[in-house]
Amino acid sequence: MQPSAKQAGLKLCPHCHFVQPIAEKHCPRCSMRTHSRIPYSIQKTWALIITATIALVPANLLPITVLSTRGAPKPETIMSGIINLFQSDMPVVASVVFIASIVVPFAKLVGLALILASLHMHIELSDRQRVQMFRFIDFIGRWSMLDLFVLSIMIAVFSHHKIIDVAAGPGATAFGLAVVLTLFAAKTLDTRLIWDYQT
Amino acid sequence: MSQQAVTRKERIISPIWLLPIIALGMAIWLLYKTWSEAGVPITIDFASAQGIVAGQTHIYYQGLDIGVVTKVNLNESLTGVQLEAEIDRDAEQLLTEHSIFWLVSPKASLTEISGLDALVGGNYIELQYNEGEPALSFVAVPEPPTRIDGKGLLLHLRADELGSLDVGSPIYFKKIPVGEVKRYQLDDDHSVVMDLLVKPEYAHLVKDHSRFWDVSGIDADISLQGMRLQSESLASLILGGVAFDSPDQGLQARAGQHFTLFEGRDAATRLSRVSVVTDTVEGLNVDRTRLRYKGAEVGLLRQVDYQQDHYLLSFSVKSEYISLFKEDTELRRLQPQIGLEGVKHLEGLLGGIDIGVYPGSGAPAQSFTLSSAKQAPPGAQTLVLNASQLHGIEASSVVIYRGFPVGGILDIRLDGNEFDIEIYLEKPYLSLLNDKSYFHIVSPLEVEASLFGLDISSGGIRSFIASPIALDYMESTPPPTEQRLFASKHDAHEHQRPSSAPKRVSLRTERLGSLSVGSPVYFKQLQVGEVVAYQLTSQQDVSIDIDIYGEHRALVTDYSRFWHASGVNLEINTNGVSLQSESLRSIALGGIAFENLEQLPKLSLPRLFSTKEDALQRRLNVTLIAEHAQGLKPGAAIRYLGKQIGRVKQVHLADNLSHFELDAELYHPYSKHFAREQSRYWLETTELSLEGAKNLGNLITGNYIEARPGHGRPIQQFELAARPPRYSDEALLIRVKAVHLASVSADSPLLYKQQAVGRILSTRVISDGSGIVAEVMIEPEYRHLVRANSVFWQASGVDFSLGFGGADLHMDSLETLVKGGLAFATPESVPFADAVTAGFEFTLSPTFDKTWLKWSPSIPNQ
Repeated sequence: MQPSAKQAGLKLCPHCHFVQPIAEKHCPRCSMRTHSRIPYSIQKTWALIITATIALVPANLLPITVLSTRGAPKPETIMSGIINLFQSDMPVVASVVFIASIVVPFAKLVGLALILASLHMHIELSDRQRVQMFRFIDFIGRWSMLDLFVLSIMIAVFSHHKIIDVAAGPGATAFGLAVVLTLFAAKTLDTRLIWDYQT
Repeated sequence: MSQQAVTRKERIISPIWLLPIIALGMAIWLLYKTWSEAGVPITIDFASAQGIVAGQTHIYYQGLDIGVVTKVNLNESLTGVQLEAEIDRDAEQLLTEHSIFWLVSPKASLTEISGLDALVGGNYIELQYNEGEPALSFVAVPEPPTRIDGKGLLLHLRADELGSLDVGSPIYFKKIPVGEVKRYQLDDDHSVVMDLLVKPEYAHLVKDHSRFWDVSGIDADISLQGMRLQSESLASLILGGVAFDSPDQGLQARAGQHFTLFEGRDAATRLSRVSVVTDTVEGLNVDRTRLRYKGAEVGLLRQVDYQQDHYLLSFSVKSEYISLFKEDTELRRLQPQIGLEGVKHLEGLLGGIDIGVYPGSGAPAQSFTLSSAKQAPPGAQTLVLNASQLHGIEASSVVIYRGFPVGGILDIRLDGNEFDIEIYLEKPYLSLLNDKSYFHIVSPLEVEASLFGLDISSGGIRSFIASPIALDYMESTPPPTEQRLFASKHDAHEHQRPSSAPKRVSLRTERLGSLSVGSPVYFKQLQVGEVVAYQLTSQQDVSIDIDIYGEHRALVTDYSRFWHASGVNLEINTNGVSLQSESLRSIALGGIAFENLEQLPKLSLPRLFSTKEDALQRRLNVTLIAEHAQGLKPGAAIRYLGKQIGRVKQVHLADNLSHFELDAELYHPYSKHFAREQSRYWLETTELSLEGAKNLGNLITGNYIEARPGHGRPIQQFELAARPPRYSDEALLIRVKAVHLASVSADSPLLYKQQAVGRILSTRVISDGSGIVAEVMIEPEYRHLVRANSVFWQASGVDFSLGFGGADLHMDSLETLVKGGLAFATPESVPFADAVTAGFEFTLSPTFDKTWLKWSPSIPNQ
C-alpha cells in the first residue's frame, strides 16, 4: 500500500496544484486556503444525499409536465409519461427515459449512500470496487438531466400555444433539484477518504 | 494533540444540514399543496357520454370552472355512462345530495340560442347547487332545470296542450310584456300546467276572473268575408305568448291561483253556451261552424261529443244574442246552394256548413235539436206527390209555376213501385193550390230530330240541372177541331205538294257514288226531285233514273247539266283547304244537283258529272308542254299579275320521255283570255342575281306558272317556257355591228345614261368574218330614245385613265363589270332624227367620247 500524501505530511493546493506541507493554512504560492481533505466531506455528502432523496419524492409523485391540448391541461408524472410512451409503442424511448429519470437518480443515491456507509461501518468493500462505483456514479449523473433538457426544449417550442401548451409541473423543479443535489454530493465526497479509512 | 483537534473539528455539525431540512419542508409543503389542489372525486351518471371527453369536459358552477371529468366509464347495468370527475376542494360544499348536474351543449332553435360557449370550448357540465347533505355520487338530469327565481306573482295556467309556448314565452297585457312562462309540466290528468311569473308591478292586473289566452303565432281568419291577420307582437310570433284580460270587477288574483288557457281571444270571450243535439256532424267543424242569425254571426261551434246514437254540439253564443234562443227557436243547416237563382251560403262550401237560427217564442232555452233532414221554410206547406218515374227530378229540383219558382223538394222516397216526392210550396204561393191543380215534370229538352230538321223545346236552363216540377191548371180547352196531325212541319209541306206527274230523267255516270234510291235532286239547293232507280248499263256505266217533281218538271231542259252533290268535297293542297257540301242531308243520303247553262252546248245524252265544275265547264283543261318541270307540283298556281287564274292538276312525263306534260285547268272567267294562240306561259322560279332576288316565296310554296293573255284562236295546248319571254312584242329590235366585241354576250345590258333600257339578245359573227353583230332589244317604253343618229359604244368594265390631273375611274354599272354591255346616246338635233324601226343596224363606235355622256336631249315619245 502506497503511503498517501497526508501520511507524508504533504497536501496539494487544489487551485495551483502546489505541493506544500500539511501545516500550512494558506498556499504559499497562491495564498488560497488549503485543506488536506475536503472539510466535512462525509457530512456534506450525507446532507446532500438526504436532501436529494427528499426532493425525489415530489419529483416522482407530482406532475413533471402539464401538456394542454385545446385548453385542456393534462398533467403527467415521470412514471405516467414513461407508461404513455410504452403504450404508444415506443419501448426504446420509454426505456431510455426510465433509465435516465428513475434508475439513474436512485442508483446514484444508493451508490453514494453505499460508499458513505461502507466508510462508516467498515463494510467489506475493496477500494477498487468503491472507486469503480464512484466513477460510474460520476459518469451517469449528468444523464439524469436528460428529462429536464427535453422538457425545456418542449416548453421553448410549445409555450403558450393555442392548440398545445407545455408547462413544467412542480415535479420538474423537484426532479431538477434532486439531480443537481446528487451531482453536488458526488463532488463533495472526497474519494481520498476511502484510503484514509483503510488503515 | 493535533489528532484530537481534528476529531473535534469533525464533530462540528456542518451548516449543510440546513439543506435537507429546507428540502423536507418544501417537499411537505409541495405535497400538501398538490393534495389540497387535487379535486374531490365524484361520480355522475349520465344517459350518454355524447360530447363528454375525459380531461376536457369541465364542470362549471355559475360560470366558474370547479372541476373536470377525469374518466368516462360504462355503468354497471350498461344503460348509461358513469363519469368520474374531480371537483376543486374549495367547491366541495356544493356537492350535496340535491345538487343537480346536466350537460350543456350548443343549442339553437327558433326560441332560443344557448350554450354557444360550448361551441368553442366543447360541451360542459353545469352544476346547480341545492342545499342538502353532502354527497359524492350524482345522477345527471337530461334537461337544464328551470327555476323560478325572482319576485312576482306566481300563477298556474292549465292548458290542453303546450302549443308553441315555451319557457320564456312572454305574458302580455294590452301587448305590454308583464311576465313570462317560467316552467311547464305535464299534470296527472295529461293537461299541461304552466307556471307564470307576473312582474310585481303588474301583479295587480291579474284578477281572479281574468282569462288567459294563447297569442302565439299569427291568428289568421280567412273566410269569404275577408282576411284578418293578427299577431300580438313579433316576439310572440317566435316565442309564443300568453295574453290576459283584467275585468273591472273581481278581486286580485291570489299567488298560485290556477287559470285555464284559452286557445284564442275569441275563445276567451265570455260567452253563453248552447247545446244542440244532432244526428250527423257532416259538414260541421269545431271552431268553424257558426250560428248565424240573418247572416250575423252569433255563435261558434266549440265542441262535439258523441253520445251513443247522436252528437251533442256545444256552441258558444255571444251574450248579446242569447235572447234569440227560446223554446221554439229553430236551428237549421244552411246548406250551400248554387243554382240559377243565385248562390246561397257559399261560405259553407269552404268552411263547412253554418247553422241558421230562426228565433221563436217561449222561455229561454239552452238545448236544441238540429235535424239533418231538409226542412221546408217556415210557413210553407208540404205535399206528397206520387210518381212512377223520376225523370230527372232531384233533391235540388224546384217547383215552378209558369217558369217561376214557387217551392222545392224536401225528400224523395221509393215506396214500393212508386216514388213519394215530398215537396213544399212557399207561403206566398199557397193560393195557387186548388182542386184543379196538377203537377207535371218539365223535361230539360224535348228534341225531335230528323234529317229534315230539328224541333227543340226547352224547359229553361234550370231544367238542365234538375228537372223542375211544373204546377198547372186543368182548364177546359175547346175540343180539338178535325185536323190532320202531321208528324212534323216537313210532313205538312210534303202533303201540300200538287200531285202532278213527275218527269223522269235518265242520267249516265261512271260511278254511283253515295247515291241511293230516295237521294234528293237539287236545283239551286232546293229539292225538286229524287232518285228512283239505278242500274248498270252494257257500257259499264251506271244509269240513274231521277224523278223531277211535277211542279218542277219544266226546270229540266236540254241544257241541264247534272252533277254529284254527294257528301263533302274536300280539297287540300298547298294553297289551302276547300270544303264543299250541298246540304247536310246530301252528306248523309248523297244527292244530285243540276243547273241550266244555255251558253254551253247541248249534251246528246244527259250525263251526271262528278263535280259541279266539270258539269258547268267552269274550268278549262289545258295542257302545258315543258322541257322540265322544275319545282312544279300538282296544285301549283297559274297566275297573271299575281292573281291566280288556274292550277296544275297533274305533272307527268310524255310517253317518249322527252318532255313533261302538265295537265292544268284555267278558271272560269279567265280561260277565254288565256287559252288563245298567243297566250304565253312560263315558269317562275326563284332567282338570285346581281339585280336582286326574285320569287323568294317559291322556295316555300314551290314554283308557279305565270301566264300572259293572248289573241288568236282558242287552243288548249301551250308551251311552258323555262323563263319569262325575253322581250315583249312591242320591244324594238335593232342590230349593232362591231369590229370586235369583247366581254359582251347575250343578256348583257344596253345602257342609256347608265340605266339599262334594253338587253343584248345574242351576238354572232358575221358570216364573212368582217365583224360581229349583236341583236339588241330595247324595252318598249324606251324605243323612242333610239334615233338614227344615236351613237353606240362599248360600256364594259372599268375605264381607268391616269393623267397629270389625277386618276379617273369610270365604271358604268356593277353589272357591266361582270356581264359587259353596250351603251348609247342620242345627240340633240332639230328636228330629232327619225326613230328607227326594227332591224335597223348601227355601227359600234370603237372609241368613247366623254362628251357623249353630256348629251341630254329631251326626246319626245311619239
